[in-house]
This record gives sequence, structure tokens and C-alpha cells, in this order.
Amino acid sequence: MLNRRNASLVCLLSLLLIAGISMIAQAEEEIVFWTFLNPADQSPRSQVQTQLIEEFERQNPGVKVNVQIVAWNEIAPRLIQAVNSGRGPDVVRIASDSWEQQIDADTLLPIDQFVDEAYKQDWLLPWEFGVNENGERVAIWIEHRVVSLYYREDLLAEVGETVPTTWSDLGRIAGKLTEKGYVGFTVGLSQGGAGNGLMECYFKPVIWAAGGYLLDENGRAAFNGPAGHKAMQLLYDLVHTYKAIPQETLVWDVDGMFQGIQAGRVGMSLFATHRVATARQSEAVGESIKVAPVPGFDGRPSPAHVTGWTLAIPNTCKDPELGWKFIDHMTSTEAQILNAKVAGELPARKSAYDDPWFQEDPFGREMVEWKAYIDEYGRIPQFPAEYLYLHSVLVEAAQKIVQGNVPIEQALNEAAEKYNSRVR
Amino acid sequence: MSGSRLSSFLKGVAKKWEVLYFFVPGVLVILLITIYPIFNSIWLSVHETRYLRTTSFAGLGNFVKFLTDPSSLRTIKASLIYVTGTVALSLPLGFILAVILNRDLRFKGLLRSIIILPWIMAQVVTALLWKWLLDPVYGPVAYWIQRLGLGRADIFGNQYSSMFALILANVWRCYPLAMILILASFQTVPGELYEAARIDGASKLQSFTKITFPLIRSTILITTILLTLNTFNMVTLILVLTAGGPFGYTEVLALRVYRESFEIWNVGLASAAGLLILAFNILFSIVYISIIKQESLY
Repeated sequence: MLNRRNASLVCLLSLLLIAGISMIAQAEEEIVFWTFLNPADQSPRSQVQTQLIEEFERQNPGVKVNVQIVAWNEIAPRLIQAVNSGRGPDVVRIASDSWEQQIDADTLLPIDQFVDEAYKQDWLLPWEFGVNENGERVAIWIEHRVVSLYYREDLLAEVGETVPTTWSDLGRIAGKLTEKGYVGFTVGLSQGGAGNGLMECYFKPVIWAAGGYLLDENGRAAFNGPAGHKAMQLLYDLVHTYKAIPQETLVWDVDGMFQGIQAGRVGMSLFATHRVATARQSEAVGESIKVAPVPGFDGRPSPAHVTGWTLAIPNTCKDPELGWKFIDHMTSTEAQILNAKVAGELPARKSAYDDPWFQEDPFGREMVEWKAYIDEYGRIPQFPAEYLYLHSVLVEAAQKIVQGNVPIEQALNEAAEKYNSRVR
Repeated sequence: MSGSRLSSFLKGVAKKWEVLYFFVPGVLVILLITIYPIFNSIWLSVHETRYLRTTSFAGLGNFVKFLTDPSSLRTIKASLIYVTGTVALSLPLGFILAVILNRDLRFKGLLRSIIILPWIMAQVVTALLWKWLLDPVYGPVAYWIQRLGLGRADIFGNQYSSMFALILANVWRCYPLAMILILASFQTVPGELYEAARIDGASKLQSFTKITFPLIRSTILITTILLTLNTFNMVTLILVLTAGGPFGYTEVLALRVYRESFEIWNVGLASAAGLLILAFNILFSIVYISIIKQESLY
């Protein structure tokens, strides 16, 4: 049995222990960070992320970054669920494709309050791209990727051609390649991969080049106008008239298309620039893969379809100031230069390009060319809250047009009607 | 009431309700993970929703909307074809393999281990494997089809062949389950019954139809239930392999629910469709169980 003196001592020690634990807890502030990059992974992007986090923790004693891994395609839906249940992270790595959906679901905090005008001017794309209804930005770019024409320099030389700058040239050259047993050009009409085999790798840049948009200012379908018609007609011609796209490859999704490139069977295709380094690692293609702006209808390139990964502060963030401090560190000019050099990611900040590496290194110089394409023609595509449904109805329309011989106008009008019936 | 009497009263109550300690936790877990989601689905299905929040009462509006959408009928039809095709192929295949593996074979253990592999594989891996095998340009199947002069293999470009490919991939994944369950039930049939039948002059076929089959029938029906439910609720394999294409002909009901929920965030409508899946599952189970009850011979 405890006597009174011992009992008092035990109480006192317990109180001290509790006080000590709470002091430690207070001293160590935690940032819960959702990302798809696993620190245990040896990929260059993961290594850069880990290096930057370690630097941040060194510079901010008492702050611990708790990295939580979420699959890249699960981040957006899980963020909506988590924020709704009040258990979201403090900072999230989110694709720019999801911005409008997250804004619509009211999951992200505006960040304009943390930045000044000079900061806003240091980005390749205007600050106004990707803002909420109050004109405030909700995320900061980590990197950019721009949809470009990937072409096999050696295969083009084999048929006596150089890189095409118009769609009619591309159709003609790809037709020659297909005749020689290659896949001259690819567009994927699978619903898989969010329908991006069609949407990112063809339809969005082409409808822009034809002078149109997917949606009007009210968010209703505009893709069934003359520009959409022209883009779908070109797709039909690439398959049936130029015979540039073998019919059996239409079932590919964006990953299937890319595997076709890696297997050395594809002559030309549209992909975002972040895949270049991986494509060149393939023994079947190596350095023969080159990148050029997307062809246009009149000799000028198509507008550049720019997306990328970004960092944002969810509504559930415990300390938005600290969350911003972390984002500012992870997207700083130095961080973007490191990302470019180690992970091959295209910097989104203008100031990053002042680093001599971009003039000295061949890959750095190539990045400067991509930057120039963004500078002159860069646009961020429309990704409404229902963008996956939008992609889905357009993929179905393209399948009907190209494989089912349904008239273009009918297929696009049906798709527009379906999409408009679901818009909130 | 004195202290000791109170204590003995409480002890008596505790003893009487002792049984609660054992089943209450289980009941709570079941309520939490089974009953609550069903009631939550019912609640969501009768509401208009915005992302995960309910906005207004919709009554049966979501059910009407779903059932009057022409594409819904297509998804139900696709589900039924997918389930029927899978069960019709994987059950006989599993049965035949179980018969073979029930004999005295060399390396029987190794064979069983190899055959079970597809079942333990993740659906994503199965889908990616079949996607590569059947790829029209760099897949080995397409290569051999072309080598044999049978033309270009556009398997996923045609509604019939893509559904067939989907069923084939799922059969490859599911037949080990059927095989294992049937093989296990073979081994429960007492050897004396065969001995008696042999003495009575029964042929091998008669032994099979009069002894083996009646004794393993309930296992076959349970296997059918498991395969049906498993296939009817499947999303991942289909999403990765065909993504519902071409023209939506392989978009089954479960995939539609997934898309309505997490791509379009129409959670109310998705819940209504999800309850339809539940109704189908209950219906299948009732039919199969009633067959088991009716035809129980032993």
C-alpha cells in the first residue's frame, strides 16, 4: 500500500510527466503532407522531394513533416473525402487537372494572402490561370509538362521526311510509316487512363488549334461547334484517309500508346514532356526520340497544353502559415532548379531558367525550347469538376465516329447533350 | 442494501449477462462495417448530393433516373453476360482440374500451388498481364494470330471479342477458387461408399453420378454463389483491362457505380445503383440457397 507521502510523490511525478509530454508535443509541430512520391523509393523525383523536406526540417527546428503516401490517381478523390470528414492533410501534392474539382468541392484554401505582386510575376503561366470564383489561386506549381509531338528522327529519315509542322503533313508522313509496318501516329480511344489517350494526346490541343474550346464561359459543352467538328474530322481522316493510325491501335489508352513508343513501333505521337527521359531509356528508341511543338492547321503550332503537379493547402490545415512556408520552400527557385537537374522536371518559375545549367547542359537547353513553347503558346486546359465524365462522353463520341461510322455532328451533339445534363 | 448484498447482486447480474461480453463486440463490428454502410447507402440514394454531402430529399428520383437511363440497361446486361460467362467457364474448368488433381499424381502439391497462383494475384496485375498478352501491336497473342495468317487482332476494338477477353481474363483468375473448393469436397466423400458401390456392380460413371455428385453438389452451389458475387461486384479488373469500352459495352454495373461515385461524384445516383447491385446479390443468393435446400439428398 502507498502511504500518503509516496502517493503525493507519484501524483507529482505523473503531473510532471504529463506536462513534459505536452511540452514536447507543443515543441514538435507536424505538417501532414500527402504525396504520391514515396521517400523509400529511389526515383530521382522522390530523392529530390526527400532532400527538400530534410532541408525544410533543418531550417525549421521543431517542425516535422509527416509524409503520407497516396497513389497519384487517388489523391483527388481521397482529398474530397478526407476534407469532408475533417481529417485531411496540411499540405497536398495535387495535379492541376483537379484544381477546378477541388475548388468546386471547396477543399482548398486560397493562397494569395501569402504572396506579393513580384512573386506572382515569376511564373511562366499567368497567375490568373486556375483561380477560384474570387480570383484567388489555390495551388502553386512544382513543375510543368507541355504536350508536344514525340517523333522518331530515324524513322522519319527512313521515309525521307523531317518533323511535320502541319496536321496534313503529319497525316501524310505517318501514312508512309504505317505503310512500312510501323504505327505512324497514335491516338488512344480507350476510356482507361481518364480518356487521356484522346483528350490530352489529341483533342484538346487540336480543338484549340481549330480555334475552339471544349466548354463555353458557362461551363456548357462547346466542343460540338465547328472547331470540335474539324478536330474529329481530322481524327477520322488520320485513320481512314491518311491511314496514319492503324485501326487496331485505337484501343490503346495513354499508357498503351507510350509502351508502343518504348517498344519502338510508333513513329509519332503526342505526349507531355515529362515522359521524354523515360522514353529515351528504352533500348529500342534511345536518343532517336525527339520532341517538337504540336503541329497546327496553318503552319503555326497548336496552343501548348500545359499541366503539372502543384502544392496546395487543404481546408483542414492546422496552421496555414506553416503550410505556406512549406509550400514556398518546396516550390522555391532553388527547388525547381534541383528538380530540373536531378529529376528532369520542367521548372514553372521564370527565375529558375537563369541558372547556367539551362545553357550548358543539352537537356537543359531542350527544356528552354519547351519553355519557349509555353511562353508563346501556353494554355492550361479546361478541367471542369466533371472532367472525367467530359472525357468519357468525348471518348465515346470519338469511338462512334471513327469505329462506328456515326456522323460527326450527331456523335458530338449526343455527347454535348449527355454532358450538359450532368453539369451542376 | 448492505455492501455485501449489493456486491453479490452485481455479481449475479454480471454472471447472467456474461454471454453479452462475447457476442456484443462481434455484433457491434457487424453493425459498423455491414449494416451502417447499407443504411448510409439507402439514406444517400434518396437524396440529391453534392460530393459527399446530401442537399435535398429526392425520394425515389435517383432510382427512377438510373433505371430510365438507356445506358443503365446496357450495364445490367453487360453484368449478367460477364457473370454468366465467368461462372459457366470457370466452374467446369475448376471441376475438371479438381478431378485430375484428386488422382495420385506426381508433383501434385507443386501442381496445386501453380494452379492457385492466378487467384492470389491482384486484379490489377491480372488485368495488366492480359492487356499485354492481347495487345494488338506488341502482344504475343496478336503476333501469333498474324503469323497464322488470321489477320490483325483487334480484340478490344469489338464489343463481342472485348467482352470475351474480359471473361477469359476473369476465368483465368477465378477457376483456381472453384478447383480448390471442389477438390476439398472430393476429399470429404467417404471411400467406403465407392467400395460398396463397386461391390454392388456400379460403373465409374454411376459412382460419380450417384455418390460423388450428390455429395459435392452443395459445394458446387456455394462455389457458384461465391463466383457470382465476386464477379458481379468486380471493378478493378474491368477498369484496367477494357475501362468499359468499346462503346461502353463492357461497362458493368459495378464499374458504373464506381464512375458515378468517384469520377462524377454523383453519390446519390451511385448509391441507388449500388443498392440495385445489393438486390441482385441477394436475389442470386436466395435462388442458389433455395436450390441447395430443395435438393439436399443426404
